[in-house]
Amino acid sequence: MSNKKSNPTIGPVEFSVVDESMQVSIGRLQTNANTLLLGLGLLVLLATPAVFSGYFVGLLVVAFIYGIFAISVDLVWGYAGILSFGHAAFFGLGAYLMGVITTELSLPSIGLLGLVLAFLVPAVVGLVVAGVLFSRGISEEYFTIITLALAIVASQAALILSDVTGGSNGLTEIPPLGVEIPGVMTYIISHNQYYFVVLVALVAVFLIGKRIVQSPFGTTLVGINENETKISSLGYNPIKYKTIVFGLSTGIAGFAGALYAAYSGFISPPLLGFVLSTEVLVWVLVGGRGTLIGPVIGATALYLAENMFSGMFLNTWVLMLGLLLVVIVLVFPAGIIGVFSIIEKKINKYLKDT
Amino acid sequence: MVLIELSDVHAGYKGGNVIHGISLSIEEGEVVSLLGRNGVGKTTTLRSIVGVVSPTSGTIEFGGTDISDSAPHETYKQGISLVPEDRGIFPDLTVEENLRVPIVDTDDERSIDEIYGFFSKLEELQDSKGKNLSGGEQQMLAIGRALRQNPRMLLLDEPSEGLAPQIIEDVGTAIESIAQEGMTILIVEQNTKFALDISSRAYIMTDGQIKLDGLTQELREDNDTLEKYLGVHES
Repeated sequence: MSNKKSNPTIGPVEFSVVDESMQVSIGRLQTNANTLLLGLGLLVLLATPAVFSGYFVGLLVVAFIYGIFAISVDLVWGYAGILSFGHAAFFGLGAYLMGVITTELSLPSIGLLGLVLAFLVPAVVGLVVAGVLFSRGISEEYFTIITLALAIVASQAALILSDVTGGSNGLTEIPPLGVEIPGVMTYIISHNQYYFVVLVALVAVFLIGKRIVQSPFGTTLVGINENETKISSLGYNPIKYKTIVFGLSTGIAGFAGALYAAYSGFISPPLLGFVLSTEVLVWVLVGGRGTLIGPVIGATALYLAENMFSGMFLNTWVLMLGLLLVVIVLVFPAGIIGVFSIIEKKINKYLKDT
Repeated sequence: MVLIELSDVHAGYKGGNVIHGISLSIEEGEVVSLLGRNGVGKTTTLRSIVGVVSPTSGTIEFGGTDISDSAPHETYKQGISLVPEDRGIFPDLTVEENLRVPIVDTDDERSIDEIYGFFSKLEELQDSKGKNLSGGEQQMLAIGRALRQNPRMLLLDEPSEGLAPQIIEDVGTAIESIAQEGMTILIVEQNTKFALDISSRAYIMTDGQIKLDGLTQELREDNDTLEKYLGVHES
């Protein structure tokens, strides 16, 4: 009797218990119209390089990379309710890992290893940071402040460690991704082909993210966000869940950073800093927090708008962009995705009627 | 055998301590109530047992293990199940889904069918959403869910709150049938009559301290004491 509870089950068992129960309510959200819209969107995106200029396609590549970055932020902020003001530190860490590895060892295939490391290293850093802070009972508000400090520290470190990072000059001539089978063939991915690489990466990250948030793990995160005490008094360890999702998120952010480095060929300290960290929050917010697809749309739309505005209003574009953001947040509190869900309802109704 | 023992526990929130030196002990299989007016620290006592708040001093021992600094999911795994005051039902999940949420050790759980055995009403409602249940049904569901892990001790925070008299009686009957199986239960209540009827022993709290304790049989007769600490007018 006395040692009845001494061998508590942990790990996968926890997840299987909630399995069907919590999935039920989320599964219903997937509707015909939703799938239809996504499918159509994907077709348009696949045809884009054949129709539009190389310049525009180049903008889209960066926009999609930022979309992956935005998904990583949405996982922690939109679902677990953890606000990170320093996610660029992890994006930049991934970018610098990629940059340093590929410029030091000039093998075409090394970039692939770079992509893997750019996921793993930031993930481990994220796990350690979140694990240490949350298990010390730090509240989420303080956690946010610490992530802010993290971004500042990271960009300063990139300035100071100039032997490795190139200091304020950054790293230049980062080679594009390539595949090499020694003695047989060497293949370097061109800028236009990179569009498809990034598109595949974006879709993959989105689908994985979707899978995660619909899993028992994801629904538990939402539960923790809503009422931590309630969930923990049913036996769930909130610290474990929050730490895992944070590490996963920082890993994805680092992966996006590596994709960026390989594309732009040039990285510098602002990539790790406060400005990009807040920009990504704006993308997520404008797109629609807690929807995964919303942040991708937000990142793409705002990045394109930024480029368009800077051409249209040479001196006032930042102001114009700011005004646009204010309008969006005021008119569509649920973000751009909120508008889509209204359209989606209309289409669903139309489908039902016919 | 003593199952849980609180020794001189002080605990509270950022603004300061709410309970000042609570000591109590409960034997295995006992049903004990913790009584007192609103705001005397009853819920805080439960929260310090579960680990939502950590005692600033004093110790809590459960089954011989020191759980003073354990987190809620740890005390849960030790076998303490809390039914919170707000019941904590997931409104968009069905009754059956709610019962599947708690983490259980598959070798030592009470199956959902066993829970339906205690609360036949829940079986009828198994496909209803949590938000569509009445207060009494939600309370039954919350207790049923807490029993899923087959706990060693059940903590009930104001189980009668907001319920109609007839429903309170039903909840009371359900608690008594659980107690008959040998479950150790600690009930926090403002409804003195209800609590005295279903428990065998009671502690009475005022201002974050325990003023007295005794058998409920004796307390029930002691109108002066009840009037003094609880403001109960027994007819």
